[in-house]
Amino acid sequence: MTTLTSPARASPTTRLPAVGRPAPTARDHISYSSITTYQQCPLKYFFKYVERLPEEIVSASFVFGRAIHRAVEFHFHELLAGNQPPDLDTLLAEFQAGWDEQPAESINYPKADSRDSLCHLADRMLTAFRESDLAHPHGRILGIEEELRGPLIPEVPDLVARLDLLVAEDEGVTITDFKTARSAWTDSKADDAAEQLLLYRELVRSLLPSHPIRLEFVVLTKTKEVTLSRHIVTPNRQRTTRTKNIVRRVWDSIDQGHFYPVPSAMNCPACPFREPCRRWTG
Amino acid sequence: MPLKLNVGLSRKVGEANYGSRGASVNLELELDSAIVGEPERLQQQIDKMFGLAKQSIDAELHSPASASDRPANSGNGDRNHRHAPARSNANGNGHSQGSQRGNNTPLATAAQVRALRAIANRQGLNLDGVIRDQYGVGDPTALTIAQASELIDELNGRTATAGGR
Repeated sequence: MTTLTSPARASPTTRLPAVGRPAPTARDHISYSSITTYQQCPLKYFFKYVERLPEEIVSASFVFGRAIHRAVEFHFHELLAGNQPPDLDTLLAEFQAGWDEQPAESINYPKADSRDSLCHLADRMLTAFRESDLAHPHGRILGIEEELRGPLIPEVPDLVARLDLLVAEDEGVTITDFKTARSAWTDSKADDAAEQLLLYRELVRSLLPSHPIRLEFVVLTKTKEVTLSRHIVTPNRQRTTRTKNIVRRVWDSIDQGHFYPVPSAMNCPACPFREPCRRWTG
Repeated sequence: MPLKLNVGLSRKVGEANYGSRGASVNLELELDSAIVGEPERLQQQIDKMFGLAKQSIDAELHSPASASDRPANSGNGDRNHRHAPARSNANGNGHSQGSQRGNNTPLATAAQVRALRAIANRQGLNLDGVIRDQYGVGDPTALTIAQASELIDELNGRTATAGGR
């Protein structure tokens, strides 16, 4: 397998994916996120994972979700260390620290949002989280933001997964993935998202082969009245096989260098690669 | 020309506290090729080889020395499989199989190691010393998930007793 070589090096944005050339498979691993990026827009995948272009603009929603994750992660670290659950101010400080990791000038706010409005939203969401029983797992916490890596699919690079929370209970272990969402998830939405957890389950199965594994999403809504809901994902062998086959096919496409734009009224406005995309000539 | 008889057997057993152990053995024996003309005797040889392999597997899986309290990297030879993914986290080295004991038991997670260090720091404990005394390994990254979980409970219980939590 060969790394795609770029014909021109003068400017990153002048480099083109070489259609028909050997594939850019220098990566020794994939993530669920990289796979969904390719499914969303193969050219975005190319700019992000092959060319590694800097993301000059990042959506406020992404920065917000990452900062909320950081606060939630800190909460569970404190529990695991036997400390009292952190108070709201401490969680908000973690949120702020997470937010400040992103240069302010690179954050793209949607019309209705500002830093202040999102900080108020974080206050409401973390308040709701602290008051929820979801913030106090019944079992023993084993992992927080735990990174697992392993070969799942023949001829596809290792899958790297980051588990938000791994908890051992009497009946097995639970993998929890936290999501922030504009509105509450339906069961159908959770089912649509299940593939991520099904793949993560495969990695945890290899790590803890003799234990039943339960999968769940915990969804915090970014709404005026914040809601937290738990959505159980039921493992299904046929679905897992299907998911692996999709990943394999996506990887095959990447490996063969199939990169092209997928114009979308929903995705393009917030895409950090709009400029290089416009310059891309095919 | 000699005939090679190769017999392999493997077995994996689940363990309490999130672990499992596996063992496999492969035996190879050279026989006189004339034995193919004596199927009954050949079958006896095969049965005998499988019997030996089974005995070895049983001995390995039921031997106290092969249990999950064996010190890390204790030289299990090739009888034990490693089949779980690696964790490329703070307590592993990021390489394949970097966070598994040789006997297939997963090592402590990064979060567990971080928690143990935080607890020890809070309590003014020499964590490496405690771990060496109790588990015979040098530092928290060499503990198994189960051992780390047990020690966290123990140390947090000590905090609870001392601090009245």
